Amino acid sequence: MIPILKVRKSGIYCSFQDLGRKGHQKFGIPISGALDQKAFSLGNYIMKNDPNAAAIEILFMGLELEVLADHRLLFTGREVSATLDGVPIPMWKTFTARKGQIIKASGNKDSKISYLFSETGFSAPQYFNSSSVFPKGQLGSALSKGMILYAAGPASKSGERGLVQSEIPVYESEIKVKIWKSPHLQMFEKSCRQAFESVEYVLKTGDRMGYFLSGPAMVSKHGHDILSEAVQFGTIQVPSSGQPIILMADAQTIGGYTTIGKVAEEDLWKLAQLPIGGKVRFAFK
Amino acid sequence: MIDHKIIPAVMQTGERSIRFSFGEEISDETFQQIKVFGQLIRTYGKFEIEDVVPSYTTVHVYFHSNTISPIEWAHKLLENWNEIDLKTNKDQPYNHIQIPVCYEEEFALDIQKVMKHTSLTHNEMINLHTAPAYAVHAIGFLPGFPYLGGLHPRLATPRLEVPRERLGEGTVGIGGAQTGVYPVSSPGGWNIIGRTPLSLYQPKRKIPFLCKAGDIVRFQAISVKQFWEIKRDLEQNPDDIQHWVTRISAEDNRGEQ
Repeated sequence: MIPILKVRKSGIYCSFQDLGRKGHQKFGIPISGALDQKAFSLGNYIMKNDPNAAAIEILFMGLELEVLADHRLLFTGREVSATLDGVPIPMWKTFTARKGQIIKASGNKDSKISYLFSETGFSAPQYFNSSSVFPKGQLGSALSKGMILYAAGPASKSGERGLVQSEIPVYESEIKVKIWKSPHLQMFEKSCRQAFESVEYVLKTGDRMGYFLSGPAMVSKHGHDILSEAVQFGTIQVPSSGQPIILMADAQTIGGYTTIGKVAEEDLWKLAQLPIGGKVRFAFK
Repeated sequence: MIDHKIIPAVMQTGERSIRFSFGEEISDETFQQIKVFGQLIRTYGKFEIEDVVPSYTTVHVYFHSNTISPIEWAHKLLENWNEIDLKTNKDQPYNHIQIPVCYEEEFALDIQKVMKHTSLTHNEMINLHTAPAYAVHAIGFLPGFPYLGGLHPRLATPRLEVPRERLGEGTVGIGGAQTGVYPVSSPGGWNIIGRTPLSLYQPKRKIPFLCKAGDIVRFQAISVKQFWEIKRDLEQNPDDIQHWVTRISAEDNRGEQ
């Protein structure tokens, strides 16, 4: 364990995440883990890290770090306008930070979710076999000022690595996602069901627990309360307002509202990276 | 207790998830069958399964990878389910959890409201709340939060119109026809009728989760003095939580009948 970074500014919400905490949903512990698993996995791939090595997930912007020891680092995800001592750092390509330098992820209007990796991975506390931070469950805490961040091991002497341009994900502000049908689908009015694939929803607000959409109301004939049952990352829930909420990585594991379906795993990253005000359309698988 | 076996409806709900539905009604029979079904899943699919999440009338199974076909898997499972003799399998082992609760007014902020709504005295209310053996149908909403079945209908009280910003850890409440215990502090609209010194969830404890689906919970009234004694002991010896849990094996189960 090598201390490599110190938090000067903690940003809006930055936390250690990995591929998630599996097998404890039966106890009410959400999966958590990276919201954009594509950018997360590509990061560890570029770094030649373990696929599950912890990275720092940056929501929007505002993270500022002091480099405590020379080390190789990498940003992936949506553009976060990162700089090293004021010099812009490209995304998707490793760079070496030197002791005493300052890293800023200042962000811009396109920023949403980005990841910071260290070679060998960050060494973060593990709970139930995962470093994914979930403060509500007392499983780690978000980054805060003064926190020291550790790399699992020393950086190698090899050259910098990056992703070829054609492999870099393209983040859109109008997306179409495939969904699996929910067993409650029949509870919704026929007209709503029929229109669902042709209408557009706007992302109003969201966090690691859920994304709130706004658009044509999905009305259920017999109300929106159901006997609570398991829900997952990507489940589209509809409470009595008729406005869908997509459950994200930190969402509760059991829900008592009608659901329309679940976003296909292959499209979850696009949805996670949809900007506020971005538009989404759905298509049943 | 179990008369006829329900063949659950099967639906794939994701790449790696499948849902079994045992109907729409909460009942003791469904609770018992889901318990046996859960046991079958665990023995049948040990290696491919990431998680099994039961609830009132459903069981969701999550798989590690999307290389197996959940539907094919489910059909093979149901062949096994068909062959199971419920009579010889009904006595599944489970935990009996005794939860001490202080119902005295300093911990029961909404007791007056509940008494007024139910037209019960404080003692009658405590007697009705401590009488049943509550079935743990599911865990969720918060880490370790038990969805309990079996609240006496006379105790049902509508939720608060304006939810509280914070219900402390251990808060025992009634929300509509449900009762439960808050494992961690959280906003909530339930009527507070008491508090338990037990932590239902402590990630660093030997037993992080006090309850699991399929268990039975009973509440026991304690004084303010006992509340603080138990709380102090558990702070010093968190693993003493085991004293409140009794493993009921198949044999004990038969003995009780």
